[in-house]
Amino acid sequence: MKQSMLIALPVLVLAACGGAPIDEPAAEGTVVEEAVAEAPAEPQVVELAALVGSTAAYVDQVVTVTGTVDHVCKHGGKRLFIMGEDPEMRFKVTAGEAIGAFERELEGSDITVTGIVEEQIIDEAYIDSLEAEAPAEDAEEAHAEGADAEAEEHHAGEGDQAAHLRQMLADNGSDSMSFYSLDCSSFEIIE
Amino acid sequence: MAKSWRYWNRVLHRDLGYVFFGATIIYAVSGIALNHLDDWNPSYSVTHQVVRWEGPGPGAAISKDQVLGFLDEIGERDAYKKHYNPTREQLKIFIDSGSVVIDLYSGKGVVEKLERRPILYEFNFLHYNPKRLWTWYSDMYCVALIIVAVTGLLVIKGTKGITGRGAWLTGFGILIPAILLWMYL
Repeated sequence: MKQSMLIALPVLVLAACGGAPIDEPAAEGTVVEEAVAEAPAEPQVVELAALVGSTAAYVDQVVTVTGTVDHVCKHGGKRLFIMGEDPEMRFKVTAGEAIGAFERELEGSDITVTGIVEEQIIDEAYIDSLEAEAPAEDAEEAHAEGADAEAEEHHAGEGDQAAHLRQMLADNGSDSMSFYSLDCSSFEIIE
Repeated sequence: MAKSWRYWNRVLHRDLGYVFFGATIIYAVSGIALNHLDDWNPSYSVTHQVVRWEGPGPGAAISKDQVLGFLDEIGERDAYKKHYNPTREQLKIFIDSGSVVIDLYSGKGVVEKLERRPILYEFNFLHYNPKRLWTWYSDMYCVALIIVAVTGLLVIKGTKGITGRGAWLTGFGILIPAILLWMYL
């Protein structure tokens, strides 16, 4: 018995060192946030229109923006899109480490999101690297690398992600394109 | 009398098995569920119902009252969250745990409702969407699995142990992924 406890105890202590239990899914009106040692920069509150219109100006900055959740990624809830009054005005939000995943029930809810604006540059080198990765790589992961909103919507598993991106570059007539997203560290559902 | 290394091997194998029984069940069950993402939604039960929209057609302004009246007819009035037109020909109504998408040309609408699958939703959440603490715990679990696997080889001695039957079975278990890897690559 003593020997058994000797084995079991360190494992349990290590497990307990993790601290609090797994967070419950966010209830309406609550803020989902992870207590991190390093305090993030004070977020700028920006209008969705401003963020969509001048995204490049906000790259690497912490912003807070409000919108209606139009779509939550069906495969795991790692991403969602918020939109404004104009449904054309959309912005991709990814679930940061503190969030884990978004629940599909969020669709149709107004939320205020805080996170860092990130830029993913899509160019030939990026697409080559996509292709160089394991051919059997799950399409979900492939588009998670920074694919665009359209690919997100249609889940590139049905097609060739790299070819799709190449086509977009060709259609755009440029060597590279930037896709932007907000890496969400916290969000609040607006009642 | 000092215990033999085989005794401690057995204790380690057994107790790690006990401690990580829960994590094993979570990963095994959700692993099967997530392996078949193309065939089903492992976290939600999704139902579809075809409905008929008798309201304004494409391009017309659709008021909240009109939408509520429609939802009343299909028994979803209290579930209303928001509505908008994704395109001129389409109306999308968000309801609690679902949505209604209507083709304004034909008047055909589809109500999609989501219901979390009990247990599977929670297991898949942990498997697929790790937060920091779970990541740490699952890392510990993975290390424990390696230890359990290695100590498992050494639990039994003799003809049924790793020097006998165990070697053949272990080799077979390594051969299967090796063959599949060779086929895929």
